Amino acid sequence: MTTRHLLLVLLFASLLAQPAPALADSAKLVGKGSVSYRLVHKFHKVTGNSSMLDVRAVVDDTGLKVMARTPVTSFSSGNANRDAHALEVLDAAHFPFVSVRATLSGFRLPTQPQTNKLRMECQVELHGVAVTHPVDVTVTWKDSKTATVAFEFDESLTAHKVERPSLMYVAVDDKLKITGQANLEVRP
Amino acid sequence: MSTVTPFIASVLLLAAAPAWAAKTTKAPSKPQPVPAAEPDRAVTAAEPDQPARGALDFNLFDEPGSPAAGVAASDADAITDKARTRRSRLRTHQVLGGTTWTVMAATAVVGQLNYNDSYGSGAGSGKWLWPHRILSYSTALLFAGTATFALIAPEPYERPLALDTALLHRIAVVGATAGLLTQVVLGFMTARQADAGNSRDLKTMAKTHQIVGYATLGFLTLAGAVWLF
Repeated sequence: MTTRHLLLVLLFASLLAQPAPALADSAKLVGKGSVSYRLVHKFHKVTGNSSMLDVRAVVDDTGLKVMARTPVTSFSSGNANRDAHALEVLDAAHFPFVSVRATLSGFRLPTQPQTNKLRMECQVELHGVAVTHPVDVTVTWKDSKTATVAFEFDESLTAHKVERPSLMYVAVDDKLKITGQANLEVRP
Repeated sequence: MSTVTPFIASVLLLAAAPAWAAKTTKAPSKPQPVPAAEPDRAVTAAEPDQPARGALDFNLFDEPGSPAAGVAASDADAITDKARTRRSRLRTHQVLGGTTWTVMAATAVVGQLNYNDSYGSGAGSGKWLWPHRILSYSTALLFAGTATFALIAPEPYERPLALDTALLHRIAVVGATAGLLTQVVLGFMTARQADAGNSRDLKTMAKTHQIVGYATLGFLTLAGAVWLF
């Protein structure tokens, strides 16, 4: 083998040794959605809706991290007086957001449309009190870039140190049913 | 040189291969693992004002979440104080409101007995006169106290005017207030006319007093009942 051959081999080897084009080892997801609460009182049931759910997520080597939040002032139950009362018991001035943080280790972005039912470790912060528990989430990937997330879980008002509102001297049930959905999009 | 050159080339190729192989095997083709479901729901509460801890100690929103945009900490404290005061006063309002309704209903019952005794088939003994008066005064005082606690309750959060139960409650209370004021005036006029021995239109005034009394009780019942819907 001549010196010219040696140089060609070295050139080829050096090309192989160059860093390959960077593959996405982390991705951000952002999205908007809606969330509702359902509260039960002996005399009637109350549903409050907010369409200001903001979702952000990061997928990296460790898995998935999600944070979602909604301003407590954005919930409407169709009764302005009741909504104002809700802000009072939730101390909206000090705790303006209800937020959820969740993680899922080992998560990878899918490469094709699919639906996954995931159980995520979640921390729900309401009234400045964080409560951690698993939450079941259904994620439907339309393609590798967009997904729809649906969730449903129960929260305890007393666990969040929220004084249960009463009507006609009867307090509302402790259980608060939360449902919602969000549309997520992968951002580079 | 001729024997060394292939060796050097092989070494270089082998050196480059792992880096290339590592990059190509990093494609995200791994299926999503789903953690096993926990048998029990584990709930732990943190103290207020403490951030999330451990693996959940992250914030994907740049701006801080608390206090609310545009609300300074001192303002937030003031709003919370107002909210606490409002809740306390409205709780009292609620208790007084229920008591007022009960006493007003008793006033209506005793008033009907008094009407029957004076203008109906009764003996005109006047035995219901003072019980009715005492209950009437009590109703007026309780009504004024109930209204006062509602009027002095601060409003820490804006409540847009809308046709909801609160507005219906207020409308019904305005009706009850008008009825109660009418009753006070009409009651005094009727009583003074009766005391003076002037029987002219006395029964008509008493009948009007009776009708307005029931209407007032109806308005107050409506004011309380709207909260149920």
